[in-house]
Amino acid sequence: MTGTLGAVIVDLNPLGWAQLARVQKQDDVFEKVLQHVLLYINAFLGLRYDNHLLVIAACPNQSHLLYPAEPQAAAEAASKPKPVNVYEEFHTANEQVASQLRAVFRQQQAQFRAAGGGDDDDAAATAARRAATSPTATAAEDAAHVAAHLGVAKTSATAATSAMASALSKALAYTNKVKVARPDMEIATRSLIISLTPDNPAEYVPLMNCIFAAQKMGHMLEVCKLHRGDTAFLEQAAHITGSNFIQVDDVSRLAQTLLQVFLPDQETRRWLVLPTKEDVDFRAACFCHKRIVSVGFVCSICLSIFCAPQKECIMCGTEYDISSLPASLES
Amino acid sequence: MDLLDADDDVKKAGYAWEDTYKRSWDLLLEDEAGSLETAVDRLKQQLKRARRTLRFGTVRRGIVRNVVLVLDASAAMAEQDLKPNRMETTLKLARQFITAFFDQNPLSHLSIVVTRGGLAERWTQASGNPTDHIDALQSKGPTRDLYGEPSLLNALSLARTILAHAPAHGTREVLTVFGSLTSCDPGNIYDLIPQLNQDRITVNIIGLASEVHVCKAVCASTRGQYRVIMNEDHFDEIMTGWTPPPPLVREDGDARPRLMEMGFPRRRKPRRRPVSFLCACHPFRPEQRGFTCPRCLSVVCELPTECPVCALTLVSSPLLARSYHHLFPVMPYVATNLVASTHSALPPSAFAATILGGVYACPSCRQPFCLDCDIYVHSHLHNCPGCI
Ligand SMILES: [Zn+2]
Ligand SMILES: [Zn+2]
Ligand SMILES: [Zn+2]
Ligand SMILES: [Zn+2]
Ligand SMILES: [Zn+2]
Repeated sequence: MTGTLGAVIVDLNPLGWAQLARVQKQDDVFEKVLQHVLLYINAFLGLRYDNHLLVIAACPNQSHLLYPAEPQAAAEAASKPKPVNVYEEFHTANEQVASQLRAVFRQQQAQFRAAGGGDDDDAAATAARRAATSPTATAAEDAAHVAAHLGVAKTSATAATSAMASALSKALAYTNKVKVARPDMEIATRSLIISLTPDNPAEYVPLMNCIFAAQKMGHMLEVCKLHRGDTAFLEQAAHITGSNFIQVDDVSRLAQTLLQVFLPDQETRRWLVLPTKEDVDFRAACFCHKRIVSVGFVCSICLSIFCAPQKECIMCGTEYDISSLPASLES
Repeated sequence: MDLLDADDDVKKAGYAWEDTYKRSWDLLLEDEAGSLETAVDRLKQQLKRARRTLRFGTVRRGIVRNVVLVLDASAAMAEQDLKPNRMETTLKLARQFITAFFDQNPLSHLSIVVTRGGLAERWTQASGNPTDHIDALQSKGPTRDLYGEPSLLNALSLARTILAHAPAHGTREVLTVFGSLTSCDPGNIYDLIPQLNQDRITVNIIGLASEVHVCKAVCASTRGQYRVIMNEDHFDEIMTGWTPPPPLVREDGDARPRLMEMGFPRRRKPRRRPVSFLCACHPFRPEQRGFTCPRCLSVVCELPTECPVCALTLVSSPLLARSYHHLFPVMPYVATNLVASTHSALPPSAFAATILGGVYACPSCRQPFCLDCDIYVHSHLHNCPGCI
């Protein structure tokens, strides 16, 4: 048995949260989920003395490392008075994680509103309403569509999705650094992704790179999904790294899932029968339009995927053998 | 023509003993504490970076490869200059090579040919499944069966027949490990070279003893590489060098590029009873879960495969995606003279370790990184945490 370096990656996309509030019929759903996540963090830190925590926020265009904090922030927090009957590490972790997550979330909401034209929540709410009523697969596109109509500066997919590859890259680089810097320390590593938004097909290659890097390191990528959008890439992440993928429909039961499924370490999990996702979506994203495709055309030189046949590869510049192309393109 | 060129190259490079005298110890300088550790660390770092920078460059690579691995199993392979002997070392490295090969070259095919007693025999059929080959190496590779002389001509002829069936859009390569200094051939090997070139087959040879002219000539005229090992580490390094997809060098048309139509299925478990069902590919074997062909909705039990109903090639997206970092390489970071205080991926307070050595910056996002992250990003992660 060893300690665990556990990263918690929280998706802070304002659209995703607005949609969740709508589906769950709770306006303060962010605060509720935050309480469940803090409960999980406390349990994780309390489980073993050598468990280490890493918290990263994934926002629409970027990710932020929130905990452990920068030295100045950490020193500032340390100078504040603490309640005497609380274990110090719990207190600092709770305080910092909660305040940082809230701050980034508010900032994201403000940015979203500013971009949407200033009319209180309506941009998010309209998008969410549309998304909630439409069938699952198109939820993201719909939300993006509404957002685009309202004049949100960022183009379609970006606003409705989060920079998951960026967050994972940070988590993996951090994990690797810890492992290299302390070769004497035996430590298991994993990342828990709390997903609020569907995959961004534009992130296909970086996200797959993260998945393979995690696989090589024996780093589990666990997914706790709170929405009903398409998450082919995250399904593949959990499948390839041999960890759990859980869809939580009722947010009030989130803590139960977090504690039962995602808390036990790798060693313990071998003895548990945990719910697991049998269906895995192996689809890919095309390189030409960043769309998720189930049938594609693959370049035999570089293996780039395209959604429609073409004469020349846009990635490697290869011109294809004319006889191999469909008749419609030959002329 | 090509044979003479190869000899010229050697003359230009000169022999080691004709080179100017290098005083290698002058590079090592003691630090303030009188220790050599700092200097040695710095040299190690430079070496690590140099090895990586070498591999960088955007060239067209052939990812769909058809490879015949030729292993010498003649009496010369029982020599014990590699421990425990040449054959054992070769088998060990071959196993490593096969695993890494299929990791980096999805959709490729490999087959193993062995030569001894003047003959060549096929150990495995061309297949894309690494376990087939590793099992064969384990079960058929006992050391005591090393006898006679190898036959380069027979081995290459057999490899040629195997590769002749390979699809036209992939590379065709023969990778040879040759321990003997002689070859027992039933004809003139130079007559085979034009035929190899006509089938656009590239021959690469690793020599375990010393340089053999005929091996060098064959490699040079088929645009392959001939390397002679110095020790086991060097052997490992050359073998590992064969794993990434090779740059396409044959102007006479390496491969006829094609667009391949492929399906990316979903894995499904039946919702209703009965829980077991029959797949389209093995009619008499009940399965628990299967993959649905996106075009005709028939169910197959494993990937990659060809749909038995509509003949669509079915693959999983991770199979292709393993090679995409070759298409989108991360720019090499440049050394800066910054002091190690900031680090974009992590707050420095995170752990007690100091940032050893220099600070490197990404040329596009200008974020600083330490050497460990630099190496990790370029050799494993293939994403710049600052850029994306
Ligand atoms: Zn496309
Ligand atoms: Zn291409
Ligand atoms: Zn089957
Ligand atoms: Zn089919
Ligand atoms: Zn960068």
